[in-house]
Amino acid sequence: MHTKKEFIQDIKENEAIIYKVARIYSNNTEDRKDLYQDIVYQLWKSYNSFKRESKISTWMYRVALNTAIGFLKKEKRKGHQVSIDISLLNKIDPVDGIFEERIELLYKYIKELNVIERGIILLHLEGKNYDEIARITGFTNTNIGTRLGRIKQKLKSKIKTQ
Amino acid sequence: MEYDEMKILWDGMNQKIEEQKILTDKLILDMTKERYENKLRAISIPETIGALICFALATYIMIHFNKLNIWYLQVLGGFTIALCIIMPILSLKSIRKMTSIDISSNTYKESLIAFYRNETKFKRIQKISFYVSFLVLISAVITLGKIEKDIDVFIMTEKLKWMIPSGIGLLFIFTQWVLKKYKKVTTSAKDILKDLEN
Repeated sequence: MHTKKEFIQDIKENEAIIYKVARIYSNNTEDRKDLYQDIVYQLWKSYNSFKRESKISTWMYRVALNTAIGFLKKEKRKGHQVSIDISLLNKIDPVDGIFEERIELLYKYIKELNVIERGIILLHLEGKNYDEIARITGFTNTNIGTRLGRIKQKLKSKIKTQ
Repeated sequence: MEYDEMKILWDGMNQKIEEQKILTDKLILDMTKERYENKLRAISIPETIGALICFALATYIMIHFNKLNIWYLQVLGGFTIALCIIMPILSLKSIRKMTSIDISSNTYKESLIAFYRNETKFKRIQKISFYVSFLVLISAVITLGKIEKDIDVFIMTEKLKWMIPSGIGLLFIFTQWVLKKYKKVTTSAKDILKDLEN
């Protein structure tokens, strides 16, 4: 049985994961805020089933990505939200103007990918190796390699045409 | 922007995010509270309202069933009651299934397959429901006409002359709209499923 204190600690240490997943799978700040809360809630709900056999970050990516799948279709099914000040969530956005613009562009390209590709590229950009990506996504290492090749190609042509 | 450049940007962003931790204990606790899970999220509001209206209509016709004194009106009444009960149940069940993915132990692939399979099923049921609701609307109008005003539409031959063709015309327009609306959604779900199987 894990305690609330442990949960808070784990969330605080890995809050960047939640932020990045929420940003990639949402189209505006309001949706991002909603998904962010949904992920934290789902993490708490399944926290006791986490046996610490894998890294906490692996488990968090899995829960966050799985929550995001349902969220993509749930945009009109919003419920009650905790009153988080939106500016609070925006604070983690980079403050450097040019850098922010480039990050915005990076997210834009990623969001143009389909739901399978978004998850894989996120984990790859996060520096996860094929084994870790396979554990989180359930695809084989070979399949991940093939998909990553295709994703990079797709991104390259998207960037070229824009 | 090449992939390597993307990676450098991503790492730069990560560094900035790490520097700007925002979550407080209170904020995390607020987000974990049961009361913030809106039960209506799992069951769509329009479908729930629709189901309640259908159940109310079915109950009303059941109560006044004895006013339907001719066999074809009784058949229509029975048909309306049955559909008003079965269709919302099927629809709500498929929504529940769509949102009941094991988030904690499923891999991303398993969740995607489960989600898009269930979504395709749900859309199919929703499509059928649209067609059926049109029939329910007609049978309910006839049944309620008899219960409320003691009107038997089938003996009003003059009115039937224009009611039947306009009903068919309306059904045609309605069907085209439904087909167009759902084709796009199901095609995209099928594409994802096909991609996952590769």
